[in-house]
This record gives sequence, structure tokens and C-alpha cells, in this order.
Amino acid sequence: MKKLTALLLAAVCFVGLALAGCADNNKQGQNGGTTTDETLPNAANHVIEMTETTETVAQNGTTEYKILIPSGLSYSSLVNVAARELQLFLGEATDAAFEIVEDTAYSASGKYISVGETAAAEAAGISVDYATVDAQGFVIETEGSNVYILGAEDKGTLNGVYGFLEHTLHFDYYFEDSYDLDKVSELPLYDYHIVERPDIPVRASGYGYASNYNIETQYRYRTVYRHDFQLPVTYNGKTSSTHTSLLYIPEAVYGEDHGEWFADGIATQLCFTAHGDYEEGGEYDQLVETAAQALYDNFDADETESYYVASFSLEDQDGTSWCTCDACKAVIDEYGAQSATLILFINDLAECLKAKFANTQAEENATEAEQAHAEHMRGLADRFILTTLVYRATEQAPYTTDANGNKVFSEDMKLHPQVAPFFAPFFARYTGRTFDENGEYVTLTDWGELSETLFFWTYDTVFSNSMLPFYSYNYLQRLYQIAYEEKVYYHYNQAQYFNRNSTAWAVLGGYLNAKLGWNCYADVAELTEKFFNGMYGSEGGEMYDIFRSYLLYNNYQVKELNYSGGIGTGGDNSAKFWPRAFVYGMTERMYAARVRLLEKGEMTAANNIELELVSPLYFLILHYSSTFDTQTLNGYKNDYRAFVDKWEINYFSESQTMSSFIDGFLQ
Amino acid sequence: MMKKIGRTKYGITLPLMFVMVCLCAALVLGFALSAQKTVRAECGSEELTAFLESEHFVGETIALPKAQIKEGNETYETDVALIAPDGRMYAGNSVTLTDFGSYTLLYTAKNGETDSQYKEPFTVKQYLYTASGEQTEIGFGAVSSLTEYPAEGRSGMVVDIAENETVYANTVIDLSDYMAEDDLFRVSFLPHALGTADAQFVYITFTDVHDSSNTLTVELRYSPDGNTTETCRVFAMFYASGQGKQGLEYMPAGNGDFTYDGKSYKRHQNDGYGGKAAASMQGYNPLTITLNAEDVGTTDIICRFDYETKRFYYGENIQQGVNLANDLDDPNLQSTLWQGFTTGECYVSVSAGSYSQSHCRMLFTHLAGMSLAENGTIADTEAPVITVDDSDLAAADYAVIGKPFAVPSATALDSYAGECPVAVRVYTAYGTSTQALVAVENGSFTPIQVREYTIVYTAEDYSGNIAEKTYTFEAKERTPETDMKVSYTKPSSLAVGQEMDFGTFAVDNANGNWYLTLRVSFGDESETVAEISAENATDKVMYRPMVSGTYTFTLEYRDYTNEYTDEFDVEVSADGDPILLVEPQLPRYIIKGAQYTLSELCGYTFENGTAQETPATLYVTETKEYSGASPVTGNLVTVSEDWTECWFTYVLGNTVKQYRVPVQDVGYGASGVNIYKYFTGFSDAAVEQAQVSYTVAEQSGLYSLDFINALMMYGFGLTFTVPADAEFDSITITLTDKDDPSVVLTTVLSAQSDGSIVMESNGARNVFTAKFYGSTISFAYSDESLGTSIDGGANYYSVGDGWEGFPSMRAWLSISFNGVTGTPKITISRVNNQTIGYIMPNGTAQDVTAPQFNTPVSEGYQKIGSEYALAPFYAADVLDPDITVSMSVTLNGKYITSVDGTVLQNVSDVEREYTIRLSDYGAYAISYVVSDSVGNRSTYLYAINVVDTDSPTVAFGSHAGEANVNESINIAEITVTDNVSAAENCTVRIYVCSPQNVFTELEGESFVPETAGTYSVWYFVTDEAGNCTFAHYDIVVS
Repeated sequence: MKKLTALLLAAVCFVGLALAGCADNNKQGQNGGTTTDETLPNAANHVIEMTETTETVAQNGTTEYKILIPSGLSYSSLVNVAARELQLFLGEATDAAFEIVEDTAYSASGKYISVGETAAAEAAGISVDYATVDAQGFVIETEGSNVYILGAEDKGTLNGVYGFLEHTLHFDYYFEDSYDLDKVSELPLYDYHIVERPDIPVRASGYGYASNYNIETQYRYRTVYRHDFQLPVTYNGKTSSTHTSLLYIPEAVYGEDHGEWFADGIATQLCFTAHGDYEEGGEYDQLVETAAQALYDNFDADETESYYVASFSLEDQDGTSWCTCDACKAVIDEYGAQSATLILFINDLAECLKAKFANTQAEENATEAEQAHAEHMRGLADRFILTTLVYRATEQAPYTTDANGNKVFSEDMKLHPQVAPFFAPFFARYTGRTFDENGEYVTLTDWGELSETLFFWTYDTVFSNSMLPFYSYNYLQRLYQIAYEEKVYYHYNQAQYFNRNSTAWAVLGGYLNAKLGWNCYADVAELTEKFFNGMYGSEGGEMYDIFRSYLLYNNYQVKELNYSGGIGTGGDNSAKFWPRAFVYGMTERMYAARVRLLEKGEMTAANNIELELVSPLYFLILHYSSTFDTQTLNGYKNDYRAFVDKWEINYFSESQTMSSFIDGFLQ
Repeated sequence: MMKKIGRTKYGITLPLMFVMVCLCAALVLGFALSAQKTVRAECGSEELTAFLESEHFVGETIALPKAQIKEGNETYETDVALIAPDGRMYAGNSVTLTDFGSYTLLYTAKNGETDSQYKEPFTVKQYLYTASGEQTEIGFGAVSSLTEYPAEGRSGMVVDIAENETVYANTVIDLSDYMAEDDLFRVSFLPHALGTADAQFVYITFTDVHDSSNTLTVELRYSPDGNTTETCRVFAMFYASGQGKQGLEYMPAGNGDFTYDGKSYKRHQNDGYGGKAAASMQGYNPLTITLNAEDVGTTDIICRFDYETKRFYYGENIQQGVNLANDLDDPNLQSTLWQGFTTGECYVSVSAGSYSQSHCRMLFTHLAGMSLAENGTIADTEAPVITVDDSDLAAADYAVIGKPFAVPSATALDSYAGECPVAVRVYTAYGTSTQALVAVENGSFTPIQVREYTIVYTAEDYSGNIAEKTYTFEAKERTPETDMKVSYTKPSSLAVGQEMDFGTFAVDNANGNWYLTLRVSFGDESETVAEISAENATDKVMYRPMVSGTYTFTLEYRDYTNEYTDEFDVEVSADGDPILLVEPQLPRYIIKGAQYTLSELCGYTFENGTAQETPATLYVTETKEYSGASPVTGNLVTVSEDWTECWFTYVLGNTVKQYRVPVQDVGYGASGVNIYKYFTGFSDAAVEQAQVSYTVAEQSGLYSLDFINALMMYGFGLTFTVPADAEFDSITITLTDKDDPSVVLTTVLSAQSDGSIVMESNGARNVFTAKFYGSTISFAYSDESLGTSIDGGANYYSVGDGWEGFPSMRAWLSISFNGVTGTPKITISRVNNQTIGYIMPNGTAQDVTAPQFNTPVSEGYQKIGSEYALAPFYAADVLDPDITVSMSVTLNGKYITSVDGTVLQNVSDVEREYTIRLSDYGAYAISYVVSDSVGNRSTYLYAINVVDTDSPTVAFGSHAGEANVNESINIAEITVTDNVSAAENCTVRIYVCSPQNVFTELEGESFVPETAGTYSVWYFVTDEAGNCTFAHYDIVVS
């Protein structure tokens, strides 16, 4: 639902409010979690200074401003997307038509909102420091009558447009067709000095509805699709960007000549010591060289030249077995964990790859494009990040203990500066406790001792049952703060990535993940209230109240009913945890809210409730069918099927399609 | 590069969009123009000339060209307006053209400086293909010149559809003559990234030209790459508006789950699959499963459509050619049948969904027969079709001088312009040099002289095509000779209770449609006896007076020319004979020795001329002669004599009705019955232990078996074996309701040409893989599912719309044999729960099987204090017509009394509905005991659960609304109220919710806030039944 919050406000009111906000320590910018509170640890990431000028950007549905972009961009380039997004939302807010022009059409007498690396930005001296904003941050500056939005990379520019809309028009995006945006008859020009860098530099959405299923939501959440960030590799028709080592080193290709490269006692893993053949030019060197070349070739084939992160990770996805050869055993014994063999190898691999990048040269008669590509490859030498999963078999960081029981981390185990362990705490519990109350928190800090860069993979759903709320509401903020404190560079909170849309408060989860990844000290309660009002319109208060009832009940579930709250505990759907009175009450309240919305013509909000109804309907049908007459029960069943179909909840669990589940369930 | 085509929409449904609309100005201008005369004058400008010399297309936004009017030496500036093809006028600076056809620029001098006007027509064209947005590209020609793929030199239309955009074909296509061998479309995919599908779905949608809500959609679906056992696939679903998505996947190995016309399919609904074509959205060679650029765009998906049968065919290159993929009007596949497009005409559009790239690219080599060689323009050369309302036309055959003649209404439908306005004029001497226009007022004209009047309808579409239709009517003077006449039989006096016979009403000289109404009044009451028009003119009209006295009948009739009324009286005397109006519910057969319970048959007697309901006297005799016989007392009848038939005679005064019922001796009452004799109509019965093989006798040209006892239909079953060498080609199983013989379920089981079974129940047809000849068929019918089955009820198939089951839940069974070529023989092994065979050594069977019954249930929780109607209970025994049923209803061991005062303890009249009031919580037990005459007994029990589902309520006492940080806050006392549980038996949990939404259970009665913000105190209250409620209030802490 488009919440046009200021529709009835006269322009003068808006200006007055804006002025008041600006005078109050730049609170104008405080929307959706941005902050200029200098006492917070992340204050430097969110510098927001805006002063209203006497000029206007748009007035009474007209504007002199055009959106300026660099010339020659492809339609699908992120800067082009950014310009279109700006055009769309500025137009909606002001009723003015903002034309997009390339900077070849720039006129000194014109007025522009410049997006990306335009010639005008360069001429105005507007630049952005990668070290300050990283790949996804941005600056917004006013120079003369022009505004410049610029990231160090295109994704940063796109994020900058959303930042501009957020700070200027209180834009906040919740879900398809549900967002906040002020509607103004006059939009003043502000003197902007905004520099923002996300607290977690790269954030991948783990929710299907905000990832590859819906690219707009992914953009507006300022997240990335995880496979768009890590270079994918394909072998024999299988593509992955996570479990990759055997795609780079296929046993079918190398097994016959290099049996030492493959693990003993486990079929689908490399032996990272190559069975101890460390002779110069021996099997270990060849393995490192072959892996590095495969990685290099894969980067070389990347026509987008957008990737700088690649994974070289264990293959046996959910196992804990490891190579049992003597050489591996010796390393493990010496350093204290299975991950030691991986660390030694990955460090060598990173150094070898770095050299290959650095030594890249174009052919003598290379075209300009080929020369530019060679330069890009050389640039990767200092930029690439090689990540490797530390998960299940390699989850524990290697250390020994001294006589006093203190941990001793060997220098040999320190990770190469361009290697990032990708920590995935599979067994951590997220419901009913905060992350730092889990033993895995210590493991995270252990890896922090060994690496300058951390990647973090957490979980935000019950993978065996998409209908269950996995309630992480009270742990999310601390999780992101810990990630920020531990200098996590990349975070992926894996939720129902497999579902196009998810029920059981998952949309709120995805939204909060997006907001907290950007600013981990944002006010979660305020965000939550905004979310409910944005999603459910005039029934926002009622839905928020239902949600808070659930939060209370979840507290009761955990403390008094021993609710598990694990990511694989499908048994948490038992009737014991979901008594009829609670589920029925929640269902009927949602239905009643939906009816009221339909009567008012708030169709989008009513539709959004349908998605949320799927979860309680599941419990009612699962446990309490016999308590309803056929007509009522069939109504519930029909709605369940209709809502599931309409919202394309494709999977009942990570491994079971909804189509294979639903007929039996509703029989 | 491909040409970008601008945005458009179907012109007939969308209004013109224009940048600066000034509706008021247009209205004012239009009004002003109506008062001005149009004068040909000189008007022009270079801008206008250039505009007229240019081509204009739909989607284009034009600036209305300025021009000046010149009269002699004077030059006047003008206002310009645009008249669209639909006649609407627009004034403004610019207008976006959304319809193709004839437009007119209208120039009027400013400020009334001159009354001259100038009209300049121009034509707006429409491209054959357009896109809804700017980012989509449409190209024509060789794929190699449009894309990076060679595609074996193929050419066609390459569409590259941007996300959220749609490609439209703007020409009307007519699917009405499409047949199964006609391609609907052929398409292949040209992915932007080889190996990755551009989008997961492609929708090819056909939209009714005359009803945009009526659509057909083919939804192509991405499938992951093939593997070594399966080629690459593109699945597809096929559906019309209002239907669910469905696609049949042909399974050549016969391992599908659905058989259709003898072929095996997997029937996909609500899943991710569908009909299957060997193709790849990712660019794979679908058969070799290899990824080579050379193979891309070389394999078409073929989709065909047969409009008459509403069948889609899909997927050549699967093993058996293009296969049936859906039938949109087959009730075996659809719950909602698609009836087709209004005229067969439709538009087609293409879009995609779930994109992985910015665009989805594909090659069409065929699309509903439209040109794919270039993007030409479309031309509308067909005039609209005028349709005059038939019922209006029939309103009068000729006009009458001086009487307004209503001009029949007409509509005009054009394929592109939709419904066009119809102009109507009436002329005399039409088409001659003396033709004259006749005034039409309020939809009628009034002829003033005897001559022919011609009604002329004309309609024009957006492209100037004009249709005309004429009707000529003669105008006459009205004379008595030509007036409408009605003749009928006026009943003479008769006795009360006898039927008045008016016969049929004969109408002569009616001018067009005529209407007749017969009313009767008696005392203060009146009613309509009959309403008759040409449609039911042959119906006889009857009326039965039930009270003596004078009845006044009024006959009103009318046609175009006039209205008439007749009135007459009929005297009804008080000396009427008794009458029997209803038929008795008698058994079809009587089993010798068995006791039958018959319902009373009532008629009417007329003492003092007033009807009184009176039971008839019943006699049961061996012959029709009943004199001397004793009447039956009570309602129980047993025939114990060796009769082959008996007569039921009902006598009421002088009125007598008689019915013959055959009597069958099966050895009832003995220790063993001849169970094979429960079937009649056979010439020979070979009894075996588990079955009887009947050779069926011929009788009056029919071969049939009847079962002599009424059977339970709640779960009816008949198991029989058709011999492999059977000398008949089908079996008809007829089930006739025990009490209402008009309710009949007829099922015909026969063999298809391949021998598989076809079952048609009341016309609903299903085909099965099982064979007819040599098979044992377990036919079943369920009054619960309202379906029939051939697998003993494992799968029921709907009998069809309109079937509501058997009212008495019991029916008479007949089996007949069709296409008999010799001696029909059948082996029957079971009827319902009864084996048909012998059990005892002497070839008889002891009845050891209890009666069957329906199983009413109480669904869900019931509300305290509500009334509950107990469902009627029906029972029947296969062999024994004499059963007893006893019902009791208890709560906690105490019998319940129904609202009509019946104590529900061992009640035998269970086929009626009892209503009870649920005054207390608990489980009400409804129990039935059903017995046959030899003591076989069953019991059935179900419960009505009255459960407390009401949550407690919470009322707050006084409490703080504001507080300070670090100061203790006492929480509110609450009052808990529950409909059942005492307050002290409710569980109360108290939580404090922090401003961060963290809930903490509170042990005491106060808490100390540590930060500022809004706290909430939540009470989570649960009653003894587990009903819970949440209540909270807020405290602002500063």
C-alpha cells in the first residue's frame, strides 16, 4: 500500500516540519534507522547533514530538474536502474515528470540530480572514496543547484538513490506495493552532505521474496542476491557459488592422475594436504596451482567484471567427515582442528591466485577492450576475496591451549588477508536467546582472532516446515551488532530463500534484516511499528497487536513449553505448542481485519493479511479440523490453498514442494 | 537492430489518454458547435499541411496543428479540437492516439469572429504488433540478423519482452474454425545467457474481442535441464478464465494417473508441471541435452487448438507427436466448462514472468496465422454486424394506423470498435424518389396512413465501414375482423373436488406476440391459474376447486393491437365424491412371509362442500376382487400365502385405486433362504458358494434382472463378473428411489473398441483402463459423494450436475443387458454387504448380516444454548424388509427431550428430523440400534460436542499511564470474567513488554523501568478449557 503520509499537508507545513527537523541535530534524516547520534559506535557510517535552501526541486507538479546519468549505459545497468527508481518515486511524490538524460545532454544552465559517475559530477569535484563507503555506500552532495548521488560502485549509487528518497521523502519499502513515501506539493532543495556506509558492507537477503524472485524488493532493501555476489562456477551442468571445490577440481577430470588430491574416507571432498606430497612441484603444489588457475579462468570468463569474491569451499555439504590420511591427521593434531588443513591450503591458494592476477598481461595486439579486461584482472590482485566455508566439518577454529587453559592461536593459522572464513553456525539456537548466548558466539570470536575479514552465514527459518514462525525477532538486532563488532564483511541470514513468498511473519523478518544490516543500531520497535502500518494500512495497529501477542506467546512457548526453536525442528508444529484457542483467535482476528480492509477498499493491505493467514490456517487445519463444521473447515482449506497459490509459497519445506504436500494435507 | 515499437492498448476498451484534457472546454465547444452551421471555408497552415502529410500511429502523442481560417481578405485565428473515431471530442495542446481509424480536426474561429468551421479528416494507423512499454523490442526476419544465434537460418518474429511489459498483436483473429491439426503457435527460446532461462514463465493469452474478461491462456513453464533419462522439457498449463491451471502430460509407457480416450496421462493441477514439450528455455538442445549456440532457436514448441472440441494439443517431438494437453469443456476435466469466445474472435498477447534477465527473448515462427514477416499495419475493412432483437421484431406483424409502433431495438458489434452506436430512421417509400422520413419519438413511430413503413438501421465503425439493415412493416386500419380472438372451453358447473378442464386456449388474428392470463377469485382470495403465450400455448389448463361455491374467472389477453378481458362464473356444488390425489409408496415386490410397514394413504372427502383429509381403506388380496376381504388394520402387511402376486386396493368412498405387486417366495422365515431368488428375471441360476451365475430370461424384448428388496444407497455396491465371451455389449444398472420413482440413476457400463470400460452415469462419462469382458466389476454408488465407481468405491466419479441423491436413501435395483446376441449371462457375487451365493450345504444362505444405515455425524464444536437438528437416519437390510430402529440421545446418562417434546429414548421414527437444544457443555451421545427380523443387530453412535470456546475477558483496575525511569510501577489489578471458569480457576500470566518489544514475565506486582519509552503491561489469561486472551495497557516512561 502506498502510504502517502503527507497528502493533506500543505507545502508550507512540510517545509516547516522539515526546517524544524533540520534544526534538531539533523533529525530530518532520521527515518528507517539512519542516525547521526555520534555516541553510537557506527556513527561514522551514517553522516547525514541536510539544510533546506530557498530553491525548490519541484512545485505544483512541475520541475526544472532532470535526472542526469553517464552516457552509454546499458538499460540494465544498476545506475540506469537507480535513475529510473529515482524518476518513479520522485514523480510519485511530487506529481512532476523528471526526465532522465545522459550527461552528453548536460547544460550548464540546467538543473540536475546527478546519478552515478557523470561528467558533471567530476566537473563539480564530487567524488567518493571507496575506503570510506566501500562497495555499497554512497555520498549525496549539493553543489550549486545540483544534487549528486554517487557510490564507489554502481550498487552504491543505487543504494544512494534510496538513501536520497529516505532522507528527503521518508521513503521506506516494506513489500510489493507497500511502502512509505511523502506526497508533497513542494519539494525544497536541500544542501546535502550525506556519507553512508552500511554497517555490514555486503548483505545478502535470505528471503525469496527479497532476492532473485523479486529483484525490485532486493534493490529497495539494498541487499544482494547471494549468487550475484560470489562468483558462480559451473561444471558438468551443476552451478554453485558456495560448495565449489569439486567443481573447480572435478574428480572425474583429475582423479586418475592425481588421486592424492582427493580425501580418504569420504567420497566428496578434497584432501587439502594432497596426502603430504609437499615436494616442490609435487602433488600439493600442483593442486594449489590447478585450483588457482581454475579460479583465475573463472574470473577471466566473467564478462560482467562485477565479481571480486569467489568461494573455494568444502563440498560435502552437511557432513562432518574429513580426510583421514596421515598427513591431514598430523596437521589436525598439531593445530587442534580439522579446519587447519583447509587454512594452510587456502592461504597458499590465495597467494598463488594473487600472483596470477598481478601478472596478467594483455596480448601485444590486444584490442582496447582486451587491454581493459587485463587491467581489470590485475586490479583484482589487491581486491579479490577468497572465501571458504567454516561449517560442520571445519566449523571449529584451530587453536591449542596453554597450561593455564588459555587459547593459543598459531601464527600459521592466521588467514591470508584476502581470505575470509565463511562461518555458518549450524547448531546455534535463535529463538528464545540471543546469539551471544550460544556457544557458537565463541567460535565466531575465535575465527575473528585468525582472520581480518569474516563472512557470516546465519539462519532465519525452520527449514523443515515453512509454516512455522522461526522467531528471531528479539535476537536479530544483537546478531547484527555482533556481526558489526566482529567486522563481518558479508552476512547472509538464510531464511526461506526457496519460497517466492513466505508466511509466519517472514516479511517482517526480511525487512528487519535489511534495515539492521544497514544500521545495526536502528530502533527495531520503531521500525516494526512502521512496518505494520505500511503493510496493513488502517489495520496496522491490529496486526501489530496480534504480532505482539505472538511474541508474548513465543516467550511462553520457549520458557514453559520447552519449544525448541531450532532450524530443523519440524516437531515444533505439534498441538502442544499451538493450542486451538491461540491459533483460532489469531486467525479470526486476521480475518476480521481483512474484512474491514476490504470494506474500505484497502486491497493491498487486505492481500498482505492473506499471506500472514497461511501460517495460522495451517495449524488450524493440521490439528483442529474436527472442531469445525464442514463448511467452515472447507472455507479454511480453500483459503489456505488459494493463499498459498496466490502468494506462490512454492515449498512446504526446503526439500518438499508445496504441490507434493498440499493435496494430502487438505484431503 | 530490432525496432522499438511504442506503447499501445486495445482501443475499444480504453479511453483516450491525453496530456492536457480540458473536458469542460470540450463540452462547451461541442455545445457551441451544435448551434453553428458548418461552412466550407479555406483553412490552413504549413503546420497543418505537414501534419496531414505525415503518417500517424496509435500510441503517438500529437500536438494538434494550428491553422487559420481565411475568408476573403480576413484571417481568423482558430481553436482546434480533435474528434476521435468514437465521436468523443478533445481540446487541448496534445492528445495521445489510442484507437486506429478516422479522426477529424475541427477548426473554429476564436471568439466567434466568424461562424465558419473547417473539418480536416486524417487516418490513424495501428501496427500489427506493439508492446505495452518502451523497453520491449520486436524484430522480424532472420534470427541471425537479430540475435547472436544462427538458428539454422530460420526467420520469424523475435520478441524481446522487458519485465512487466507485454507484446500485443492488434489484429483480430478468429479461432472458430481452428481444428486439431491447426497450429496455434510455434515458439522457441533465445536466452540472453546461454544456459539460463530468461524467465520462468511465458504467458500466451487470447482475449475475447467482445468480452475482455473471457480469456484463454497457455502458460509455458521453465523446467530444470534434462538428464540422461529425460529430455529437456518446457511444461505448459492451459486454462480459460475461471478455470484452474491444468495440463495433461502424455505418458507413453502407460504409467500415468489419468486415462483419456485410451491414452495414459499424468494430470497436472496445482503443481509445477503440465503438458510437456521437448524444448528448452535455457537454450539446450533438448534431445542431446547439450549446450551449443548453434542449436538455440532451432526447436519449436508446437501448440494446436481445436475450437469445436475446446482441446489444446501440445508438444511435438515427444515420442508420439502432438498430444492432448487439455479439454476446456469436458466435465471430466473441468469444474467450470469454457463455452468459447463470443464470436470466436480474439486478440493474442505475449508476456513473461519471474525474470532472471531484464528481457525474455523468443522466436515465433507461427502465431495464430498472422504475418510474421514484417510489422505491417492493420486494416479494418469489415463493417459492424447489426443485430435486431428477435423478441422486439415479433412484437407485431403489422402496424396499426394511429397506434405507436415500437421500433425494434438493435445493437451493432464491430471486431475492433466493439459495440457501435446504431442510428435508426423510419421512412415511407424507402428507396424511391419519394421516400420521406417519419418522426420517431420515444422509440416509436405512429403510422398515419395505410402503406409500407421501412425501418433503417445503420452503424459505422472507427474506420468508416458502414452497415445497414432494413425491415419493412405494413400499416393497416384496425377493424373488428382483424382483432385478436381467443377460443376456449368454459367449464360448466361441477362438484367440489373435480377438476375443471379449460383445455387449450386457441388464439387467432394475434398481431405479433400475445399474452394471456387466467385468474380466479373465490371469496376474498384470488390466484393466477395460468399465464400463457405462444411458448406454452399447447398446455392444457386445469383447476380443481376444493370448496363449493361460485368461482369467478377473469381472462385477460393482449397483443400489439389491443387489450381484452373476459369474465365468467363457474358454480361448484357441494356434492363432490371423495378423491385420492397421491400415489401410495408400495414395495416393488413382496417377499412372501416378510412383514412390510406401509404408510397411510390419505385423500379428501367433501362434507358440507369443504375438503377434509381422510385416510383410505386398504385391502390386500390375491386378485383384483376385494369384496368380502377384510381391510388391513394398522400399517403392517404380510403375505404368507402361496400367491404369485397380490393387489393393494385403496378405497375412499366410491373412489378406488388398485395396484398389483408380484410376490416372491425366497424361503423367508426359514433357517436358510434361497438367496439367488432375490433376483428375478432369470431363466437359470447356477448357485455357487460365493456367487450366482444367472442366465437372463427375455421378457417383452428385454433382458433384465430385478432385485426384490429395496437397498441402502448410502454405500451401494454390486459386484459382478462379465464373462469373457459375454453375448451382450453393455449392462445398464438402474437405481430407482424407493419412495419417489421419478428419481432414477442410470449407469451404463460398456466396452470401448480396445475393450476398456466406459461408465456413463446419467450421461457423465468416464473411461478406465480395466477391461469390460472377463472382468469382475465392483460397481459402487455413494449418496454421500454423489458419485459412481467401478472399483468398489476407491474412486468415485461425479454423476453430474443436478443429481442430488436418493431422497429416501434407498432404491430398487434393476440390471438389464443391451446388444444381446445370444444368451446373456452374468455372475453376481455381492450386493451391498451381502454375498450372493449359498452358505449352507443345502444351497441356501442364512441371513447373518446386519442392516446397513447412513452415518450422520456432528461436525465441529457446537455453541452452548444453540439448537441442533439431528439428521434423519435411514437403514435397510439387503435380504430383510422388516427391520427396526431405535434411537436414544443422552447427556451424562440422561435422556434428552427434543424441542417438540419427544423424549429421545428408544425412538423408532428416525427418518424424521428431531431438534434438540444444547443447554449444557459436554458430549451429547446419539445412539442407534438397528435390527432385522432374525436378530442381526448393529449399533451406531456419534456425539455432539458442546465445548467452551469463549475466551475470558479482562477488565483493568486503576493504573498509571505515565512514570519515570528507575521508579517502581505498580501494575493494574484486573478482574477476570469467564463464561464457565471461576476467576480463581483462570491462569493469569503477566508480562512487561519493553520499548524494544522484549517480553519479560513479571513475578510480582510491580516493575522498575530502566529506560525511557513506552512500556506495555500484558496479561495472558487462560480459562480451564484452555481459551486464552491477551490484554494490555501502555505506560509512557520518561
